[in-house]
This record gives sequence, structure tokens and C-alpha cells, in this order.
Amino acid sequence: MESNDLVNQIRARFDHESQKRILREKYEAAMLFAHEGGMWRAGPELQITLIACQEDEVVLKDLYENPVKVRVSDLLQLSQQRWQEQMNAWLSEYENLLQRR
Amino acid sequence: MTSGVLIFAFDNADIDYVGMAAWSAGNIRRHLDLPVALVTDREPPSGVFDRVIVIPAGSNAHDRWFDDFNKCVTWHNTDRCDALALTPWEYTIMLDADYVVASDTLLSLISAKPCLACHSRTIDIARPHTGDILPVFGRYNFPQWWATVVAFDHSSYSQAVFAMWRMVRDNWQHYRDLYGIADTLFRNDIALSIALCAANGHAIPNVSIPWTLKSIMPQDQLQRLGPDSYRLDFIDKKQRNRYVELTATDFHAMNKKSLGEMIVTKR
Repeated sequence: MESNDLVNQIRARFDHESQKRILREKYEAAMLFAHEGGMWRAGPELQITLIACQEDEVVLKDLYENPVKVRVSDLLQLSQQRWQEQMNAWLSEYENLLQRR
Repeated sequence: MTSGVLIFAFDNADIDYVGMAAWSAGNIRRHLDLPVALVTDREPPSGVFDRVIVIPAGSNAHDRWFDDFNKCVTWHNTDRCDALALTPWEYTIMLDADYVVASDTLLSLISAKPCLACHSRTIDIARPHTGDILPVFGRYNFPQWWATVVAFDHSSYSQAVFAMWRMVRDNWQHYRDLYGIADTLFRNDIALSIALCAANGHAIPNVSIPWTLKSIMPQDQLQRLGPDSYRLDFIDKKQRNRYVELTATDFHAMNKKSLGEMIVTKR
């Protein structure tokens, strides 16, 4: 590393806005999961759809718009678990970010 | 069904692509637990890759300007369309040598196995508010997909895409004229984009990987803080020195000089 780069690096300030967006992109990717050969995004939209299902075995379109037969209770549990885990991790990183000034 | 990663790496006088691929193979095993095959033009050090496919590099080189080196560098990039024929895996994730795996995000592709998937959205990590990088190409604003990460099986759609990709490569001037592409240099991203739509009956296919590709631009400086933690120094639009940190986040390091130095020095 050249001395100019080193000086610039020492002077550099943490960019909160970009870091917030990076966190959002990171956790939006972490919400995705595969189940029964389909790709799903954990979150309220999927969970409300699943809660609205009358039967325990239904066919839903995954993110690639392919029909996938799923057991509602299994997919709901996976979605809720992943959503809560990742939202908690997001919150934890976000709170650490707010403390950095 | 066998699954694995495929990396193309052809060294030149300035960039040690095989070294990048070797470093990446370690990250891939750690996070994805997948075997790694390398396509290259000479035997790499033994024990680093699970499979090595040696092909001649002589006919596929051209010179390209690299901002981070501030000069033209010889670049071998025209063999990607042969990936389906070369891959030893039944389901493959083809990665650029400069794609840094720092999480298990790609595993969802291995589990879901879409017949073909690649990124349609990519952002500049340092300037995410500026929107997507090159969302379209050519005179007619045709949508662009990225060849940085391509997951594929051996289905008829994948075969059609790779055959079409090869046809675009072999007739680059014709497709430049057809789509109004200013760039004289062959680009895999554009060839892949044309192939994806052509193989889908000239309709927009639903093949996008459902998260954004995060990219580091050539002018920005990358530094390793820990095993999966990186610092990115950049100059913002007001010409101020700024930095962000990346933890457990995959990214595409377009600054090959910075990535190469980081790997060599293991800072």
C-alpha cells in the first residue's frame, strides 16, 4: 500500500448510509431458502399466504414461478424460523451500526 | 446428482487468476462444502482443486483496459460458453475467479436447483444508492444479466442457452449490429443476456437469482479484516474518503489489483 493510500485510509470515515443499505441487501438474501425443490423468501407475504391455506398440502408458485407441492405446516415453520433468526441478526448488526460514530 | 463449482482462470502478466481461484476454492469449501473444478491453460499446484480441466488459452485472448492497473491487460474470457460441455458436475455453479464467497448464500441455489439462474441486479457496494449497475445494454435498452454467477443443470433450456451464447461469441460483430452495442470487446454478460432471451422464445425469462450481486468497483480499495470480514475504502461523490465493512457477505471484486494484493499478503 502506498503512503497516500494509508493517509486516506486513516482519514476515512465510516459511511453509515451505505452500510445500512449493505445490511439490507445482506439480510434480504439471507431470507431466501429452498424447500421441496422450490425457492422461497421468508417473510410476512409467504406466511400470510400459508396461513390463508385451508388444506395442509397445497401447490404454490415459488420465486421461479414453478408450481411446488408443499406441506403448509412445514413451510410455515421454516419460513417463520428463518425470518425471525435473520431479523434478529439484522437488528443486532443494525444496533451495532448505530453505535458507530 | 453431483453438484460443484466451476471457475475459469487464465493468468496473464498482471493478474494471477489461478491464485484467486485457489483462494476462492478454500472459501467455497469452508462455506458451501462443494467440490471445485478449475478450467485453465496449465496445471495448477496439486491438491488445491478437486478437478482440473486444461484447455488451450491461445485463441481466446484480447486486450482490455483495466482502471485499477491503469493500462491494457490481456484478458481470456471467451470460453465461458463452453462451461456446460466442460463441467464435471451435473449441477454447476460457475463463478468468476474474483467472486468472493463469504457466506452460505449460494447453497439455496444448490438446494432449489433452478435449471439456469444468474444475477439480473448488481449494485456498487460503496454507492448502493446510485441504483443498479448496467441494468440494460445496447441501443434498445435490452435487460442485462450477469455472467459472474451462473447456476445451471444439463436441461434442454441450459443447453440451448449455452449453444446460443457460443453463437453470439462466434458472431459478435453481427450481434453488435443487431442490438446496437457500442463495445467492440466481446462481453460474456451481454452474450449471456442475448442467449437467455433467445432460448426462451425471445421473451424475458424468469432466471434471475433472487438477491442482488454486490460489486466492488475497480477504483475502490479492499482490505481483509478477518476470515470473512472486509473493509472497503472509497471516495464518495463529494470527494470525501469513506469506508464500509462487509461481514459474511458475498461480493464480486472488480478491483482485481486490490483483491490480488490482499490474497498475496493475506492482510
